[in-house]
Amino acid sequence: MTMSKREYLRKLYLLQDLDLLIQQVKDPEYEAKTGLKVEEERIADLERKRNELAKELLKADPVTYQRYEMLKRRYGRGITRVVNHMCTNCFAALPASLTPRDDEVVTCPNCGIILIWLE
Amino acid sequence: MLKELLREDRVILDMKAKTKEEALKELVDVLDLSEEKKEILFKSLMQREILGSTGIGKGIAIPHSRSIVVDNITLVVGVSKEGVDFDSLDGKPVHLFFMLIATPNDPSMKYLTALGSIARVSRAIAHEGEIRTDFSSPKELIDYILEHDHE
Ligand SMILES: [Zn+2]
Repeated sequence: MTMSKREYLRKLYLLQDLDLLIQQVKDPEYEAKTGLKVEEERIADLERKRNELAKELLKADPVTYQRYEMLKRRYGRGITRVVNHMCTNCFAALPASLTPRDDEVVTCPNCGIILIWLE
Repeated sequence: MLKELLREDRVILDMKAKTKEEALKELVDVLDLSEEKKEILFKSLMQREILGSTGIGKGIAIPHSRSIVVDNITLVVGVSKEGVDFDSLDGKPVHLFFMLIATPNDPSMKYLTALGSIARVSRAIAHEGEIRTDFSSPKELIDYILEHDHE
């Protein structure tokens, strides 16, 4: 089954949401500041879900998936939105020629992050 | 901190929702976002609920998430006169919602500090016993919240 790049990116940012969520609840400051307690078991469930999605994305497009993981290590996130022709990771203005594509994953020429355009 | 986040156009004085899903949708709907972005945000908030309800008890819930759909840290406050079943820790219906959304870029300190302020105000409100739900204007609700914001 092939996935369009648009569909792929939608799933990739769901993965990023999961990654940020897991990272957040594992932060010791989280419970200290909010008083919200999260059971280890629940986190493990969510990590399983995360890993299933990651596996699917790795299989569908290994290059983009590995790029995401590499960027996440570097910036703490791998995918970001384009707003007013600007990358919201490094805030560089993007060339007007850079537009969303269905056949290719587009990255920021300045910082390398994976770009997504949302309506 | 909270004062900067509270906005009169991000307040619901009389929520219609009866369930958790409906409540999250109603809160998300307040934001000026495309349907696509609303759907993404809703999914993200529901994911957080899988980890355990953000209904902290005594009639208050703090749904929260980091999401790429917002441009800035965003707070929506909602009041439900009848209460919403939110699988709260104490099983009580929720009457007051604070939905906080941060961007993935917001520093952890800023986000957690905002969440912490909301949790503190919530405890102060809960401490009084009955939660007020009879606000006649967004400003009145915002003032009520700020009255409980003691550093
Ligand atoms: Zn960039």
